[in-house]
Amino acid sequence: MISKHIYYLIMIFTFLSCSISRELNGIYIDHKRNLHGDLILINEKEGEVHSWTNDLWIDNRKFKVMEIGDTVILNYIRYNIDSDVLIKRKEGLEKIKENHNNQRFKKVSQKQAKKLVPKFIYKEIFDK
Amino acid sequence: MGAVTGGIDTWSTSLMKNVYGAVRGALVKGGLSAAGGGISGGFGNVIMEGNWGAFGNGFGKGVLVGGVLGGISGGREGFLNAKNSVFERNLVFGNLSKTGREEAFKSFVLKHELYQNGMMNYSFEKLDNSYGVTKAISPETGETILIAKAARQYPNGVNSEYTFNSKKLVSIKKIEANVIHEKQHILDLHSGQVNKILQKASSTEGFRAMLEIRAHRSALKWGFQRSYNLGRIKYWDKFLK
Repeated sequence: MISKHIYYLIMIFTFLSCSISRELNGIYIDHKRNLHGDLILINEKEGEVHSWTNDLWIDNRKFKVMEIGDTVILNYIRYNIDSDVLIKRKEGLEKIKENHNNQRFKKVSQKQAKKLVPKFIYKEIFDK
Repeated sequence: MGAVTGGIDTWSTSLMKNVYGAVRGALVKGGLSAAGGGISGGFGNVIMEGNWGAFGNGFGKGVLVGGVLGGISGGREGFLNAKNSVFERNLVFGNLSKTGREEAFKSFVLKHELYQNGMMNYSFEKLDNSYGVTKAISPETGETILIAKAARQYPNGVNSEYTFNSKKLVSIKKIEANVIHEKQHILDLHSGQVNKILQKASSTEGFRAMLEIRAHRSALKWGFQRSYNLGRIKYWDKFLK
């Protein structure tokens, strides 16, 4: 009887943790004046950050996602740099920065992303 | 020959700019020496009496100027040369067609020695938000790679490719300004300077700001689009703090 309860508890916990990840999944963009932008792509527990200017594809970093309440921690895989910390907001995510000039990433659909990301970058991120 | 020079000196600056393309095509290749002293009077008449607006579109005007000048300079060759050169015909009126923009771009690529400074090739493509794009090329695979990857993995530099947006309607000046802007990125990639910039930068934002500031400064040094480039430098500068 007790083991049955534990089994249900585990099932509920698994369901809840999965639903949180699923909610987080998606494309987040911080886009400035058609000059440059950053995109965060989250798929379950993994993701990527892309940065560009309107004439250069600057960087792409992969990370592992860790969620603690409303905080999302991006643990970068390849680079020896500190993790980024994001706060969940109504419209998307907010990146906390040292200079308090926080970056706001809006959650967008793939169709919206196609409009916001320069074509030559979009191809690199989604069409390869 | 002396008379030709005298005649040209009397033109207004704007007309001088406008007619430059056709003059170059018609005179230089059309047989300047054959025209002799009489040519100066002919030009004066064209400029003083010509009603530019009445002659329709740029093509018509180009052919007309080419034809007049070619005729004056004494050769069918001159007429044909002016008529056939799309780039020059467009230069006459400063309103470039797509082919004209591509021709202008090619001439600036040669003028600013992009091939000698790390550009492997160029292509024309419709871009959404920019006049041109620079992509780093992996020396191992030949594929385009991230600027940061080129900086990290190839400190001695990589070659690059340039995509120019010939579909965007721009002036000759803007085309040259873009060639100079992208040339700075191409040079930074080729010389390995991007590696040093990456090491100096404290964040990705700082890295891209430094790259863009260098490119805008370069165009500024050449005297192109002063207020535009100063505005951009000021904008990017915020990301360095």
